Amino acid sequence: MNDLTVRRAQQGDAAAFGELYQAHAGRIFALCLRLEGDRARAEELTQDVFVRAWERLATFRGDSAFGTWLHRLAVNVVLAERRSLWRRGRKILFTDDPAAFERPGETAAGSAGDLEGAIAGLPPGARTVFVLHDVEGYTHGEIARLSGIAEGTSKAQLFRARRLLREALDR
Amino acid sequence: MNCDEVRDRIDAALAGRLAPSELTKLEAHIAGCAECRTDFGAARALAAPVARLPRAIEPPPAVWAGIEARIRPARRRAFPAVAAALLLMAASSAATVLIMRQDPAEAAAALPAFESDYIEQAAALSRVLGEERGALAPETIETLERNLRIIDQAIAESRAALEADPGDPDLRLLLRASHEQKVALLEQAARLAREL
Amino acid sequence: MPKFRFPLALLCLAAAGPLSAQAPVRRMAVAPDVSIRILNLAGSIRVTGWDHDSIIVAGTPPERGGMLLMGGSERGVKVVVEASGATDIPGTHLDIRVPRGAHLWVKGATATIAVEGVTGEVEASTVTGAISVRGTPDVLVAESMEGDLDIAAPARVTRLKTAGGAITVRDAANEITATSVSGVIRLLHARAVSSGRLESVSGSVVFNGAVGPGGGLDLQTHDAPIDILLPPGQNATVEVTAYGGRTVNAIPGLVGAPGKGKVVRYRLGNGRARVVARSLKGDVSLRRQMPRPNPSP
Repeated sequence: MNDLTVRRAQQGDAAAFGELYQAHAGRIFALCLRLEGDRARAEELTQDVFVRAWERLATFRGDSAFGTWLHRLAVNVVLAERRSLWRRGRKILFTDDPAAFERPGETAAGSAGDLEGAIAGLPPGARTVFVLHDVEGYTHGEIARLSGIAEGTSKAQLFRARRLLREALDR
Repeated sequence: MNCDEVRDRIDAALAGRLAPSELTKLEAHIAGCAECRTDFGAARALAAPVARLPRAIEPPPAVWAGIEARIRPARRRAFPAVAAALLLMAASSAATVLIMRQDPAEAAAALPAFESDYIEQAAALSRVLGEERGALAPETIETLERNLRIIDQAIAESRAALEADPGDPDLRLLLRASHEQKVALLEQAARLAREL
Repeated sequence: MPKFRFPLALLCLAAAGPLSAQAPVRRMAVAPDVSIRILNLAGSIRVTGWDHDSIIVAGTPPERGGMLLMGGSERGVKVVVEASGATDIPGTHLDIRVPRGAHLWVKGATATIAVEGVTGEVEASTVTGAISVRGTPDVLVAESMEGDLDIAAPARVTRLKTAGGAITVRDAANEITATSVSGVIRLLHARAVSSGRLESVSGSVVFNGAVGPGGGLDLQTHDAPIDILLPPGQNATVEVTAYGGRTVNAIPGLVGAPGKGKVVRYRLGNGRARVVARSLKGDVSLRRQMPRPNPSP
């Protein structure tokens, strides 16, 4: 992905933004899917991430790779939306879809692979830390700040997640 | 080597990044500690399967359709007078004024690298706040300005402390925390303006 | 005055009986884990959990004070006081009973919010109104610009945030984050906090209570004092970094060891549980917990 595309998108070129989407949506969707364990939520969140990225494009200064900036933005969006209850309430009010009544994390990821399924089955706190640390490479310090927990908790959650996953895979 | 130290080194050990002397201590501890043996074993067992996880999973086409519908064309909007004052307020730390009025690249080069990102976020949020026409009561704006002043002073003092001792990681943390407080406060205000 | 943008066409008044905007009490049968959204900018909102699968809303807007609208389905209900636009009218006082397992989203501006006896998720926000929560919600998120937060509700996860309002939490436990800019943050009689993060710029921070075994507690201010009071028998490693302020250790028999940079490290008991306190200009003190006053009736 080249700087010119980002520059054009920053100037309001929606087609250029579309190219950025093509290049990065897969990574972002994978992140949302693994963090939430729920396909419908992951699709919604992916939309929210890119809309927020469009709104905040002006703040991207190019001192990190665009993908890195986008990824961090995505983590912030996912964790912030967890704290907002209203999204769930609104969905329930305006749809007859029974799937809307499920809380994130209760539905399995639906994608193939024992490990993906096992990750989706982790309790939310452990799953968040595992995905961010082992899959996405964030440090415990970064995870602690992003999710509002103490660094020691992040480490404890990681080890808990790894043990649970190992047990799940050995079954 | 105690359990906490071992756990902090497991990842490095599996990646072959641990110095031989440390590796020996780690192995010695693990030989005699069931808990750490379990943790080490779990990390090792997961290393390959995690590395094999696909980095990207393509979302269905409907996702882009939804995004496209929500992206509005860039529009110029008039700043109400009060909101304009707020914009200046939010951008009031010396460095931010520098960025707004001078060549951004030159101003950004003068700051610790991670700061410019926060400053830009704060500036972008205050632009968003400026555009939510008059949704905030004057008293709320006053509260916001008062608290922003407090945070800006904290940012300036933390930055000065870090400049005097650039290698101290806790000073970095304190500076970062002040910046995050500012962005969080502006986000809280933007949420209020949007939802009221 | 801001207009509430919710489209009226989507609201249907409950079918449980003849209702009009003037009736003082409205009732609706709902699921035990119903999601409820309540919006009332001025006045007060009191929500109490009870053992019935129904919602009762009592309270009427004063004359010219706007309209009370209520609707939804048994899984999701909205209760909204639509503002009239008049600024000299006193607010509406809402008294709402909800199933204990309900999930609440409550919003006011100057209105005060009081929630009690709910075990679902609770999210409350105001601009200047005080927020008080009692009971054991599963998740508690409370936010205000200037209103004080008065919490005695050990949830599984708690997130509290103000700009200038004071945050007071009794019986904190599990995971809790409290942040403010200039408001004081006090956790009193905390029991077994597993992961705590208390951060303020210029508000003083007090943690008086227990950190759970193997738990973590991060305390941070820019220029306000941090006071840590731990019970006898607390096992913890406490790391204090006070750059411009004093580090005060008032625990008899405890000696601190200097660590890297300006850190002073204290080991209590077997050291399991990690307490980290940092301030650029504030004093940090470490003491024994003060005994709990006799509980009020």
